[in-house]
Amino acid sequence: MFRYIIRRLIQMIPLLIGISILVFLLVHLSPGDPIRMLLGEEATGEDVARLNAVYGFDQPLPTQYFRWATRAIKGDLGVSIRQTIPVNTLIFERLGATLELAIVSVLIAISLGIPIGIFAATRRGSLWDYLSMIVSLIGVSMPGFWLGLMLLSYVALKVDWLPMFGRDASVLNGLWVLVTQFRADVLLNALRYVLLPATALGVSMMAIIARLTRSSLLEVLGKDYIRTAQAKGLKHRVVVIKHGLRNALLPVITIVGIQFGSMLGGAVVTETVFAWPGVGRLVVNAISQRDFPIVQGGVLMMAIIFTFVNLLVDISYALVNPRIRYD
Amino acid sequence: MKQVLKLRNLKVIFPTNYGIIRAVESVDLDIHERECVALVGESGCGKSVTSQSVMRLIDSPPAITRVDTLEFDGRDIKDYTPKQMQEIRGKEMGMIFQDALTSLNPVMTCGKQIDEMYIRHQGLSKEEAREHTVKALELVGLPEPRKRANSFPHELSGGMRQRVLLAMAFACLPKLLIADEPTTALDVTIQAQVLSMLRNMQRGCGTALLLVTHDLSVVSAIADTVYVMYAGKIVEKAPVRELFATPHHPYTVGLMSAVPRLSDTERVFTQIPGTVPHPTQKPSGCYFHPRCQYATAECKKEMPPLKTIDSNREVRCHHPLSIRGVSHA
Repeated sequence: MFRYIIRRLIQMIPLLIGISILVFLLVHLSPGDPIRMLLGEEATGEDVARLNAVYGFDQPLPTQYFRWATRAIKGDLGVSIRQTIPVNTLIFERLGATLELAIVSVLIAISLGIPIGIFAATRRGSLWDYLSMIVSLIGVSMPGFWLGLMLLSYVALKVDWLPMFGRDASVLNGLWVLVTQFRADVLLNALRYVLLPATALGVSMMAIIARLTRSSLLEVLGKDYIRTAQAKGLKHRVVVIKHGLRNALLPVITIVGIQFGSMLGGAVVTETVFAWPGVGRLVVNAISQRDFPIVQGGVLMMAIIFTFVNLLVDISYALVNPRIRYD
Repeated sequence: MKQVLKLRNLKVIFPTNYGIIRAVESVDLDIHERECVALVGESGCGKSVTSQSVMRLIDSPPAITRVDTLEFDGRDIKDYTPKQMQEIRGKEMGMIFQDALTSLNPVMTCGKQIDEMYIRHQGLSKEEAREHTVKALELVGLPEPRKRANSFPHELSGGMRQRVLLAMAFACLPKLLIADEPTTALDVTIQAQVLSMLRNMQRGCGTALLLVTHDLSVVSAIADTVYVMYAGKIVEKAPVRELFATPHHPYTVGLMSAVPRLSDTERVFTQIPGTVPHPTQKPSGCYFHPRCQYATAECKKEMPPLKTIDSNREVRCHHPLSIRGVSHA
């Protein structure tokens, strides 16, 4: 297992190099000059040339890439052109918010999706089955930004307790206060802010999990070992949960992992709708301002996180299914 | 002898898009204490459905099951609720299935799967259950039982897995054990081991055995009474020695001669001509008549009743065979 993890980590190196080259090229070949945008219309050609030299944009692209890459390996992702703040600082400031949003969404999606899937599968063909599958079909079909807007105008506007946008303290911070000072107010306040964006982001994932759990569980419930478990006289609940669900969860874990990974980078739209201060919004703003270092650093960060999440998913397979061994 | 199982007029049908499948038609079955009853027939003749119906394990829907009498150990369990059935299953009625690999949960250790029996039916703690499990595994001849209990099914060989199933089935000393093709997936040497183990366990525990198989050598080895099934109906019932000595139904004769033999000079393969009728399109009259070399006009028209012969045998044939050849009893 240990050797497997090491091998996977080594395999990540060429992948990340490839991604960084691709992002570098995309950013630099797309139209729009960051210095022109920074200095405005009236800037003289001299000023522009001087600043270009400061940022190294006057060098040939390969030189620029290697200069950036050698710094990145050391952990230095450069300085934002617009904000003149290190990219590292900017990303890490916002990584917490993105992670928090993604984790809360996944928790919402799992804690509702799996029970709905079980509920539907054990009542196959009944009205309840059809109802829950229709609901999840709607959930899958709804775009997250639209759901976000609907939640804002029909829930947040009506319920005073729920804020429209933004973020206060982190949930983690709230939990810390709860544990150390026995005060729930910080946590409740944090949850207040994260609830709607996490719902908007999590509903489609919940629906996917529900449908997948249902079909996977239905397949498993037809297996011979389920008949064995029934023949042993085990209670229905034990047969479904203990013998069925654990076998049915493997495809669900895959989807949760992939979705979680893409949420870390792809919650851009939801973050924008709810003005959530996450990495996605940082990168989107940076793109429109041609703030190259932020875009490059942000995408590299997301790629690293995504591949790590995938590795975690693969490792968790072995925990769920003893037939999978890595070496 | 006390009767363990009394089944009267069992009918199981499966409505499908291609028509109604009458899997089991009016089957009667009697099993007594310590008796080993074999249910024999080709694939698809309804023997597995019959055996699972006894434990009421056939899901309905899709299946529709009707039975006049289903008496187990003197109790009428025909109308037992699912909860009541759960109390009986495993504890008083056990079951072993054909393919031990697919019959065991792949993500649970073998030991845990046996532990469940003791925890569920005897209310033991996890630790106590494990002690019983190790003893049970030792009893079925599994080497290093304590270590093996922590193995997953895929880490054991086919014979070992079948032993695990045996240990599981006998865990609560059931009154009736249903073994559905218990040795089919095993190679011949392991078959013999598992079979004698099954026989010994059955005798030791005083369990009645319902053995479902298509393998006549298995039947001759351990059965007391044999029911032969064809296309959802019992066609012949007899004590094992008498059945092998004088098979009355042409289908039984066909089954027996289909066992390959090595005669003096050549290898003999005899087969029953034709195939089993499609379950949605069973022939008129006797279901076996299209494949029967003795069929007459009567056989095409009318389904023969199950007639009692020689007080302890039954046969469903208009013209049962005997040692003298074709007779018209």
